[in-house]
Amino acid sequence: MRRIVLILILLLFAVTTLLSQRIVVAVMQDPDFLDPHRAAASGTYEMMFNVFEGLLKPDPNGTVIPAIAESYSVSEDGMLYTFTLRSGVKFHDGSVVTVDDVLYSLNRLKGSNGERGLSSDFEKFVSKIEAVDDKTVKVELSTLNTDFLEKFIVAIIPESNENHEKNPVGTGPFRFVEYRPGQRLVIERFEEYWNPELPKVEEVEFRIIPDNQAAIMSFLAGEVQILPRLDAIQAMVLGDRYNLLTAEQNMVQLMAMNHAVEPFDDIRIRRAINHAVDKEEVIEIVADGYGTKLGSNMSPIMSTYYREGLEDYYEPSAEKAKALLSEAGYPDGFDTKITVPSNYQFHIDTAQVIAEQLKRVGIRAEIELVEWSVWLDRVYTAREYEMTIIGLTGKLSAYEILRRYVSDYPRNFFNYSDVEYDRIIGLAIEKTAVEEKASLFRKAQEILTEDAAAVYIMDPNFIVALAPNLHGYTIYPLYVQDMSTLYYR
Amino acid sequence: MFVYLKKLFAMFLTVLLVLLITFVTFEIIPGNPALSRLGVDAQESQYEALAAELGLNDPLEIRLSRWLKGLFTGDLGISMRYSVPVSELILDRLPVTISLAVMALVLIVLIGIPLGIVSAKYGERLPGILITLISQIGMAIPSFWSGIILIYIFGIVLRWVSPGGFVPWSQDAYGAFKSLILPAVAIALPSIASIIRYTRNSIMDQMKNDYVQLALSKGLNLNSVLLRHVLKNALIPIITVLGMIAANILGGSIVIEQVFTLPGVGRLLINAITTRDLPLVQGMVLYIAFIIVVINFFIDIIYTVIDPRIRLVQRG
Amino acid sequence: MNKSRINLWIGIVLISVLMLMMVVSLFYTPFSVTEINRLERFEPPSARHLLGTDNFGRDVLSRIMKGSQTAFFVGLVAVSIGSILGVLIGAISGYFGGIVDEIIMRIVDSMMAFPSILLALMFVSVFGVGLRNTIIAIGIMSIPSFARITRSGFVQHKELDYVKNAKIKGVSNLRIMFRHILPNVLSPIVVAASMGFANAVLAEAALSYLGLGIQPPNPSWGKMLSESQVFITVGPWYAIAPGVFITLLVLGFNFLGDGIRDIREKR
Repeated sequence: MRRIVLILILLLFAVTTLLSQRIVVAVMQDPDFLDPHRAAASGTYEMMFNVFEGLLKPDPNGTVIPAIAESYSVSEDGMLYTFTLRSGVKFHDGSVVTVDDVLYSLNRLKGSNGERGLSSDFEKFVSKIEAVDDKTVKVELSTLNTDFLEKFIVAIIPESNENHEKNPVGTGPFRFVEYRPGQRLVIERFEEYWNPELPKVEEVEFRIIPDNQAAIMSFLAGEVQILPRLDAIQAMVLGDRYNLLTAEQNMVQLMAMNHAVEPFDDIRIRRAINHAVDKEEVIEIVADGYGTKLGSNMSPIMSTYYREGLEDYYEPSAEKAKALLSEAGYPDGFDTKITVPSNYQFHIDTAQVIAEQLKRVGIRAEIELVEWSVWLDRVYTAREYEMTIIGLTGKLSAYEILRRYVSDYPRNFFNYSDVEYDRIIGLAIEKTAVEEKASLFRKAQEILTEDAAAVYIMDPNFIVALAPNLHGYTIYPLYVQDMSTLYYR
Repeated sequence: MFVYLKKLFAMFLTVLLVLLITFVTFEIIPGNPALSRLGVDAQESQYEALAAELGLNDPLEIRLSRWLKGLFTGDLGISMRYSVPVSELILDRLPVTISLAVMALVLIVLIGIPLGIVSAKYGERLPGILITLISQIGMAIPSFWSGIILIYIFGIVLRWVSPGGFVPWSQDAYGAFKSLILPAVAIALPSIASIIRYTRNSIMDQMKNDYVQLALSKGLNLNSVLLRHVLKNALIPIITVLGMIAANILGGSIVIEQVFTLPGVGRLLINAITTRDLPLVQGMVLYIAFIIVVINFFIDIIYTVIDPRIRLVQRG
Repeated sequence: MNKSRINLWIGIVLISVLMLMMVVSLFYTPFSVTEINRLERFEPPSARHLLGTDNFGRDVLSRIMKGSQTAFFVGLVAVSIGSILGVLIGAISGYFGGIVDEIIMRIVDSMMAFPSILLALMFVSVFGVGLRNTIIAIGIMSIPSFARITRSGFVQHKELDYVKNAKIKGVSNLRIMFRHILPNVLSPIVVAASMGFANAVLAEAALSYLGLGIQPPNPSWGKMLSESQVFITVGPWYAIAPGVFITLLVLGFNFLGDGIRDIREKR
């Protein structure tokens, strides 16, 4: 009986999808901007990754590889980048990518002729962009930042395009077809992609379904072929009838404690909370065991920079937690609030488990759910909160990940401030030798852990569900969906 | 006619009040459209550019005057979340919700009224009681729950229809019908139940009248009395109820669109509220109010068609 | 012929059973409502778990019982808010008439024209999600219907002799309104309250389903429905149970309302 059901399902999938060579992917949110230089949301990058390319592009191992540039070199002192363009790379409108397009794109980010740039980083770190000949571009930094290479994954767009928002044109394996707000974003195969082997399918529709449960229903009904981000419990529902791939996220799920608010300004309280939280229990209950325990703000996927052994720095112990609480003057615990964005069931579940754990040491934590827009405003920007649980999506650069804690970083919503930490981060991005840089970043992670800057919970392994006849899915340590390698069989 | 104008004016005032309240509350409550659009990873430069573009940094009086100007020129403005004119967004979604509402209304009329008549005819006998009982249960079932069950049976087990796969009518009429029929049924169910009850009660009230008894005593057939005389008179209260149902379908469709992931007005509204997209929210309030006015207008016309004796004044 | 009583009795029985369940849940549930048991996930209904278990291995029956507290609480408070304010507004409007009446009734009319779930939705998203705001929203949405019903009663009764006599005797307006007229127009209000209760339960379920109503850890039937929806293939009982209980409670109050109306009409 089971086998018959399985065959039937396979057949149905085969009939509905093979005929069309079309993939429907469920995504959670609308893009913020189609113009790649204005877009900030990772949900946008997830889709438009297939449409745009930079001089370089991320590869599945978490490094960058040449894309529009055929090769590149970095000067000894790390201040000068030289890119040689690949010949014959075409934009979706058929025109060939020229150095002028590259200059236009990079200058648009940096800002030129008195106009502000669209990227704070390019504004801050780049001093000069120039063409050497019609194949070569040089970029000179003003301040040393040895993680700047990763920035060149930013999209190269044609100067001739008058409206990047309405009519986005890039060089990626897929061409933009249409975007209907709240409904779908459709892309189709670009025949003149510089890598002739890609892409393999004709068309991809990103269907915007904000509600994971509705997305699962659509998947079960065969309307959707890829569900990119399921948690383990949801994946269980799908059973073994589908292709389920476990993908590490390079995400850091953490519980932030507002260092500017009493009693979290006291390191003993923060340490007590770290001792009170049993991460393994959280992982077990919330993620069905599919999560990697963390000890600092870095996922093990970032293998070069990851500092091992911190995840057990604070062993779960009610006694230690209570002792620290008494020492800090709260022998009976205290009342507090965990603010959680209401659209993330995963974080809500985590909060429920942690609240129970804190109860065991006398800390009474109330869970407050707020809308995502309220969270961004009140918690993330205005920093009016006590504790909050959130997942920070990974970047290719360790510097990008760790600078959140630098005292004057605008989005340091932890209100974390440590002179030594700031110094180490500043030092690290000036190191050109990888090992030297890595050891400083590892030191930075230690400081965060020792200071109990936050409770670092896990890197949740989310699960990608694929229709049974869909193959070739590539997992990245980034928030992207690479559609170019997928094919039906 | 004067009465009608008065009604229209009251509606206008209410809408104005609702718009003003939304403007003020959006001022007060936390949540910022630029932040919620860009998310956690925005650089300062990106946020500032968007905030300036949306005019978020302008002082209150400038924003207020801009809002008032938009209100009186009929310009709904540009969505803060999507950078697309509000009217364009709404018009894009309207066909889904309207088709849904029309299909549901058709189901309600075609199923509800005949069953109501049958139920009235059999009165206290078994078929009547049975229909009454079923309609009671039908009114008590939450529509989103019946929606879930319908998806399960017809979408997942039988795979006859697919939830969430709306295709425009122009592209594939059969496909559009297929994707809308289940949600239409889910919305219609409770209303079918209530229309059965109203039809039944209304007919039974009429049956007590002397003219019916007279006709029956003259030896006229019950069925023909029912259909020729009673139904016509009974229809008026039923239409009033249908008008209320039409407005409620709009509300019901908000939930059902969520269950079936249909790209209708309801989902757009929820989206607009959660992303603090003030122009879009206000545009939608106006549209909904407009639709309700239109529905009421049509009901008034239907009244006069059914029974020319009815003057609008009577119902002021 | 005793059909009127049948409606009443079905209503009373249904509500009593559910109310009993609610009262019991105040002191006792078969299992803990929040405790997570990973070894008993998605157990089908059995002697141990009469309604099976959910995705966290929690006993569905216990959660249903606890959820009945939310349902009754929301219904009761929302109807109280709606009826008290609605009766007050309706009484003033009906008794005094004139321009006050005109203004109030126009606003009430256009409020009724709007789908109530829509207004509740706006209210909750603007003022924040949670139990308190859900109740306030649902309460406010039911004001117009109470106001309407009360007004029509007052309009009829203020012309009757006993009111006129009272006026001649110099009884204060307030006293006439609430001591003399109100008891006489109470029965349609009670019917409306019963129906309002049913609507409040449905509205709460819908709001919670949309994620805008009751928030965890408070168990709510609507929330349970939305959480269980995705598990319908592995644990259909979990998705069916809360729906059945919502239906039963709503059914109970609808029958009760009909029953009371039947009796009134008989008199």
